[in-house]
Amino acid sequence: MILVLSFDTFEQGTDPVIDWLIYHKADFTRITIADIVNRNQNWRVNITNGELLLNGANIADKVNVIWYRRFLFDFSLRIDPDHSQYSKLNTAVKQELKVFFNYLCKALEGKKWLPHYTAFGLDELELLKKARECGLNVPETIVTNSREELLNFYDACGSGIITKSITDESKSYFTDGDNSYFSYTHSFRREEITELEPWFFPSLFQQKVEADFELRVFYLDGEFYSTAIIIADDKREVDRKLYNSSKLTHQVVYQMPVELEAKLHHFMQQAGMNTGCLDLIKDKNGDYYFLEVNVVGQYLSQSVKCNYSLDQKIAEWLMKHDKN
Amino acid sequence: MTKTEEKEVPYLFNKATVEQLPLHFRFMKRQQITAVEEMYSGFRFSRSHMHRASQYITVTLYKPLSDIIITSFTETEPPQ
Repeated sequence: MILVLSFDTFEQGTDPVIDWLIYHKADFTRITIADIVNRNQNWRVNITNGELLLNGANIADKVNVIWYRRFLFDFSLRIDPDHSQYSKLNTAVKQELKVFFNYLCKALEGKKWLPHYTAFGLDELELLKKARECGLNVPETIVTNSREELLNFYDACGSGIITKSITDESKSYFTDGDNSYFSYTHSFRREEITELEPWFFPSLFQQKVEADFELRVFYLDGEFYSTAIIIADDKREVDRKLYNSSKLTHQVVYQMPVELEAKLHHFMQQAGMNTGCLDLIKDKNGDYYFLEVNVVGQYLSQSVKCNYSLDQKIAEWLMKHDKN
Repeated sequence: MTKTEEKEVPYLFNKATVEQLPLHFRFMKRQQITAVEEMYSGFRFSRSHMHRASQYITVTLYKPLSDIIITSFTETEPPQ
């Protein structure tokens, strides 16, 4: 059996794969946090003997493959957000669920995972370091709380610097009335730095790489599906996501050099990731720079634009390993 | 950028709050929710301007699967 751990509501990376599983009459179960917390499913996890009972059946024996798609992201407490203790309660309950989920992962550690659960906890800074160790170009990166240090870094980089969140998880998507608020990569001018206060909250800064174009690469168990994202705007801002809806943005199939693929493959193996969405930049000199990898990144846009049918390939991978 | 994407974020957090946060919070962009869609707002990717979904002419829509757990099929009971 294939166990799908995903959202209760629509999740763009999950639902097309589910369609293929249904089409192929695959043996699968989709479970969400809501099934465990809010619904009328009978769950019992026996901590002493490892049984995982769902509606009376022990699925631990049946499950061969586990596909993880942002399972824990989909939970928030269903109480009035204006309740004075809402935030604390939400954190407390999430912590309970996190420990429980960690136990479930370990109880199922002998199964085939996509991605493996140990890859969820890898932080972005560690991955940048690992990427460089694997021979990939990585922009010079610092975390600092000091204006003086930042000015030194800016001057040393020469080509400018950017700031962005250390982790995707802190790039929270805020909503307020009809508006949404989102952090994008910001390119710093020297004058902006001089206007900062002497000390600030520790933040990430990177050497700015002048992009010829960016690459979004989906990796699945040794295979690469690469998309060049070309923005035909000379005055473009540094974050390509600001151009997702622009007609100046073009997504085309791209073949990376074999040497680059070998380095990326080595990196993914070292990171313990059998899948992920990688972001790279090809600069004006033809050099490739690794930016980040998201183990549960979104792939559907590139899949559709480049006719990669990644949803189908993921489903086939899950079915193949369910049989093996 | 499109018309809905350009405004800097002046209103979500006040200055005293922003100064206690990582620097990237100072450069948030404000966009109308209806322009972003998807992104945990309950809208569908297939309708998202942000993801240029309207230009996808080959995409078939997905079936919502909320509240459904499919445990098994048999040859005589194809999925609905």
